[in-house]
Amino acid sequence: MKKYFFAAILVAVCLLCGCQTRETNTEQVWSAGFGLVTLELPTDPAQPLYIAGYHSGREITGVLDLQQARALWLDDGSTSMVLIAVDCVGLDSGTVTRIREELSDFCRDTGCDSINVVSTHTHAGVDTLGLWGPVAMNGKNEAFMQTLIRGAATAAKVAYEDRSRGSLRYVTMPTEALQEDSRDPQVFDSDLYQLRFQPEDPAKHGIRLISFAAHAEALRSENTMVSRDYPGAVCDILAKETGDDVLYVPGAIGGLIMTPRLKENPVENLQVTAQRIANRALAAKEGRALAPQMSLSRVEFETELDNTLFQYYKFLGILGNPVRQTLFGEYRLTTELTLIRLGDLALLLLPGEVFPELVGGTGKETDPPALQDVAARYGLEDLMVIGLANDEIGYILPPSDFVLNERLPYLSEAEGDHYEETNSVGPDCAWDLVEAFEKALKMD
Amino acid sequence: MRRFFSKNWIAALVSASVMTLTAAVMARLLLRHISLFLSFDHQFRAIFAQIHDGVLNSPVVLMMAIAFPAAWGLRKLGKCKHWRIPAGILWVLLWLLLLISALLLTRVNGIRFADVLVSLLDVLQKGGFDGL
Repeated sequence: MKKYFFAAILVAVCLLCGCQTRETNTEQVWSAGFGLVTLELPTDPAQPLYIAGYHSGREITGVLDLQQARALWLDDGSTSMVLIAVDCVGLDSGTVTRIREELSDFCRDTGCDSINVVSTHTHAGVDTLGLWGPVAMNGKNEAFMQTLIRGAATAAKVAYEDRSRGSLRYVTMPTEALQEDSRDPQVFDSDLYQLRFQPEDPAKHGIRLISFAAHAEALRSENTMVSRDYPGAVCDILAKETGDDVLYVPGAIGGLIMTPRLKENPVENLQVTAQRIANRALAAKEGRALAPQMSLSRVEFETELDNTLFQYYKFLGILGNPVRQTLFGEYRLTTELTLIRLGDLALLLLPGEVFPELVGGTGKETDPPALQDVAARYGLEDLMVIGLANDEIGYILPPSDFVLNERLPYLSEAEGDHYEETNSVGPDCAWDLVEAFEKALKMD
Repeated sequence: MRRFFSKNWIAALVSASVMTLTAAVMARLLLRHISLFLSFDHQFRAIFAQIHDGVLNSPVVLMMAIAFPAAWGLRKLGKCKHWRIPAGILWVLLWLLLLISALLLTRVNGIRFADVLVSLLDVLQKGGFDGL
């Protein structure tokens, strides 16, 4: 009997040890990796390349610096994701779907839970939305789009191969005199956001994810040369100064928030703007450590496609989003948002150029509650908003300030400062977005 | 005229065509507004949407429901002595109208041509897209 008793104790001890060993194996720790691919321009002169961001039908005349795809792999030991920052004006959900399809085998092999593609919104890149070709023509260059899709996918794979264990820290830095709002009320988020991954292995590079809320148009509207604009230069400066690998993503840039003209010469203006933004990142303190716990909630949602111009682009096959018509005759466009929780920090990936008023709140009854307030209701005090993520549906405005030209809605501006309405899907988007955010928080 | 009106069945055909057209338009309006007022649930709305898109919005069904009875009626009307030329003109106009309707109701990438025609003209007038 005694023999059996000791044997039982031995088995119990072995089991406990086994359990402890398993616990050690599933210990959560951050792993991150970085990948970069430069997007070469196609050389076929028969297929013109149009510059995106300002006026239609302007062909590219040269190159200042080529566009790139930069990817971050991040996992906490059990949940993983890839964030790809592409230097371009925007990517609609059709292109994002093509990138995800390109990475479907990668996701199956690595167990990657989420692929997210963010555009830096450079106004000096090749037209990736198709809006800037000649009138009534698709401005996209298919050869370049294929380069971009393959480049984004390759960057993600390189990031996965580069991964190593380490810690993740988050910090915000206030900036001064680096933004302008083109319409009243003057509201913008002047903070510079930084996530920094510090690898355990001293031979590996650190990785920084920088976010700032301003249009990437330091080269201004006269430019016809390809460039990553100031986001690319910020990445280069930080990489040179720190040795870190750097990604840049835009924040809540709707409004329209842009950087001031600091120099008359556009290239000098770009360099000075980038240096000032990079200086703020370099001055940032270490920040607080984020617990290695990641969760992801992706919500697809519909919003009314009221903009007749966007309907027309869908008709031409330029707009890649799924669209359906309801019984009531209105068109509904499908888009998505993703909530990523990194410890107690919430990254909210939004599908367009959201007005900062919607993040901080307007206090008006006709507007939805502030995204920050909604997050706080669910215990999330720190919210980092990333715009132009996984889609580009244009500006997302507070309904209280949404005014259309009566004679030519969406084609001409209403009296006053109402340019952004002409490049938005419609007045209901803000409400639909906040509802989707609540849904994501409930899923989390 | 006397001969035409004595043929009650021709008059009935023409009336039936007009009534079909009116009924189609009315049904569409009713479907929209009743659904709006009663706030049908999504599944019910989806069924109605299918009826709406599949039947009332389909150029082919529209042609079959309206064009053929109307054309037949006009053809019969054309056999009457004094109505031959006006009926012929009406017959051609009807088909032109139906072809234009079919074109306007045609969907490309899920968008009806009628909904973007004005935008297209405005874009052409404006000379392109601006901004973002």
